[in-house]
Amino acid sequence: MKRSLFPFLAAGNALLMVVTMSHAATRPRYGGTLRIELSLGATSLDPAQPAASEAEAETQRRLEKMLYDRLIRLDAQARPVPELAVSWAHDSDNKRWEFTLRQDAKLPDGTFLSPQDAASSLAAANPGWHVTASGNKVIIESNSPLFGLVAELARARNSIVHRAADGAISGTGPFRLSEWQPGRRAVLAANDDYWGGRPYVDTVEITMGRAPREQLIDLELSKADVIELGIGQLHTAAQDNLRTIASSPAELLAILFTPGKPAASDPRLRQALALSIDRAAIHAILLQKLGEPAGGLLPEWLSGYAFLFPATRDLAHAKQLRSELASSAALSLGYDAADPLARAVGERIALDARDAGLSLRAEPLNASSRSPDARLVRWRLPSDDLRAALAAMAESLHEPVAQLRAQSASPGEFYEIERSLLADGGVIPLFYLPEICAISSNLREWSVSPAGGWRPEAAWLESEKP
Amino acid sequence: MRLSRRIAFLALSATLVFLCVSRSRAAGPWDRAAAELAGKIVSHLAPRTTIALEIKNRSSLDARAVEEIVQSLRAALHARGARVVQSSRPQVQVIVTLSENIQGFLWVAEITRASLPESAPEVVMVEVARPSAENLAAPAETLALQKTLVYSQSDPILDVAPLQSPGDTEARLLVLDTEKIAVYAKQEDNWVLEQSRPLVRSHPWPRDPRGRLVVQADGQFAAYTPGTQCQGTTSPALTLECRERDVAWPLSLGEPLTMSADFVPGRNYFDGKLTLEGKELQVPMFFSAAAIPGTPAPLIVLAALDGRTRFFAHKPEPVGAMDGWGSDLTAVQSGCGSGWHILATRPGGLAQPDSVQAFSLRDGTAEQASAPVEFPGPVTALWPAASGREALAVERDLRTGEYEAFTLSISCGG
Repeated sequence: MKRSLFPFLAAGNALLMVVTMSHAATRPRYGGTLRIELSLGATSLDPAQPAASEAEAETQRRLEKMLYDRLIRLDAQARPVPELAVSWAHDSDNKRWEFTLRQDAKLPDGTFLSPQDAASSLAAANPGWHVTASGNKVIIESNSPLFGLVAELARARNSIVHRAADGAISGTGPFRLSEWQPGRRAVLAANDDYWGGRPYVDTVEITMGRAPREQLIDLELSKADVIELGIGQLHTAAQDNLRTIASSPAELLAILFTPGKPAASDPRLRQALALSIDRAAIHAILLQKLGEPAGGLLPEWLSGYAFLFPATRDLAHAKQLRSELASSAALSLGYDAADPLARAVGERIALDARDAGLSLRAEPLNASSRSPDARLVRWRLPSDDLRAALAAMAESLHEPVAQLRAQSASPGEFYEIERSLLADGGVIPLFYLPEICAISSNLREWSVSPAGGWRPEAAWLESEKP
Repeated sequence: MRLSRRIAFLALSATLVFLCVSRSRAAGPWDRAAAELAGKIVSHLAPRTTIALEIKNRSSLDARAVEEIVQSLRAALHARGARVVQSSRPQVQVIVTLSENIQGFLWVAEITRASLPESAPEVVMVEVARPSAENLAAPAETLALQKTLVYSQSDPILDVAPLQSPGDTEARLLVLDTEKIAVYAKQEDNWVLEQSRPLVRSHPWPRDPRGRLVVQADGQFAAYTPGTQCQGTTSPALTLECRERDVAWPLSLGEPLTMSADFVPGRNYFDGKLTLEGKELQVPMFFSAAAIPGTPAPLIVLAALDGRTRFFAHKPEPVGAMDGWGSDLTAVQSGCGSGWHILATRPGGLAQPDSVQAFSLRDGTAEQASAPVEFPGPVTALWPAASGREALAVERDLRTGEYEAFTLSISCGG
């Protein structure tokens, strides 16, 4: 016998809540302004114009990915998926590639992006390629095979833009630029005509050059939705119950020796230094167990073989190598004066080196300081793709590896290439660090790719009503 | 003569050994990869080299999978003439590390020769694709709510409807996704594409695409997508005609209740103008809605945009509200208890596993009527089936990225 619900409802006038869970729903909601604060500012939004520093380049890349599309992007498993290119094909020797473009990508002025726009964007970023437009296709040709081209095209540097006669740049990305103060502030509006679907938020406000402490205060005062978080701020964030999201370890902290410096010219000395470093202790204490000790150039989640590069301390071997050296002048290790973590790590390495009988002095780098024998560097992974990331690392070491682009390669071959890049000890990998951000309590679907990329177009704000 | 007998005996022995080895274990999912790695290892060794094999697991593989891999690898090495021994003095030490990277598994073998213990090991690797997720069958025990996999594909599925034309000898299915409408026929447990027609839209899809299929008994159908309505037939040939227009989407079909609502173009929700049994009612904007019979008026259940579930009894003012459900719900005429149940997703994000649970509305409370049916990814669509006795759920499997359509049915024995 069926029971009517209505008489009770009329009398009780309310249903009781039996299932108590968080106040949320699965489907995203539209509207609102997403406020992002960053420490470093970008001064250009031109993909063809390199940033002044690696850190600024990251901010520029983030903005470019919101404003412009690429032919292809990589998904969460680093597989290529169509963006502006709906399909692609290449000839048997991988020297000629054809990309068929989607025809519904609109520029802010209402016109459609042309294959010529795509061709000139790619040609500007890649002088070694011969890029042409034909019909609705872009054709890339090279004298040598272009293995790994698809992942390369997913990088922000290969963003597709339209250049107007007056030099103004525009794109077809999920957001459109509505205000731009170089290095200070950018305001982006949702692109209602975006071929991939309008972003959920109406506006993204990006404040650049904001000090880390100010960012934290702004988040706590609900003046920001996304901030960058340094390792030193994690304790405060945990105490304050802030929501934090970390990427996979995506930034390499390493010692890079300066070429031509006599004090560090003996490979045995560089190896002794590498073996003297107690990464486990630094990881546990200074890094609060974030990230992972690194013996290789690429992190484990990307290569799968990083464990083959040992990152353990071997003080006995380090002392033995030191004893083989006739004498050793004091080495200088420079670090970024504005980077407290680099300073702490540098000073700890100096102590470790002393245990092996090496003399090393950590010193801040500034405009007036002389060139040190070695520097602590931070290198961000430019891609979630193994080949592209390794190629970029090789370029950072000024040792571009031709076969990375010119031949099909297996992980075993990538391993051999990485081994050869590390062979002379010119770089000592130390740690892979995650990128950490803290987000407001009402921000949903804020995702960070393994290499630290953001997708603000997929995020939404819970408290806003459409 | 004696020699030939001996050769014959050896050949027979070798055959028996081979048969024993090959029959001692069934073909496993890792055999191909194990064979590839074994081949690479053996290519570095002289014939009949004794090997001490050590396996380390640094990946997400569980202990059972690791044990299967060990067995596969041992068999593969043996088949290639290597001798895997327990001896403390093998000629070669092989450490196989089961590792993993962003694209899949990576098995790495480090080969160290006893005669060259100080040398760096030789390294060989094979890439191994992650196995596709197994279809999750409904639990064997008597659960009230059961899910049955109907169809899966990589493009986002918006809705699925079975086709039952007179004279059909095989099951057929109409599938609406963001690219097309397609008819599939079941042949030997596989859905085979029969016909498809592209969905032509003048506006981009919203980021959270939704769509609805309504199929008539004569094979005619209507497809509703944000801002566009299509009509067509499935027999004798698939036809499709789409027009840019806003028409109300049917939310419940046929007996005993008919309900429809206007969908907001370019968004992922309904605008709140709802029609139930021919009568209009203005309610808050909502993601999903269901109606169940009641006296003197049916009860309308809405998943509102603010995350709350609200209840209406044919008046603009709600008669109740509650938290705790997700944004997709539908009603099913279960025939159990009060006869009707609400199926609702749980709150959560698009990057989280999801579940659907049956609830009964009784004595002013929403009570759990079944155990939740778990999904390894978010439920992206939940619509009532044409019969009203089942529901159709679409889930995006976070492990594989595939979209999977399930029917959800309630059995009273749960």
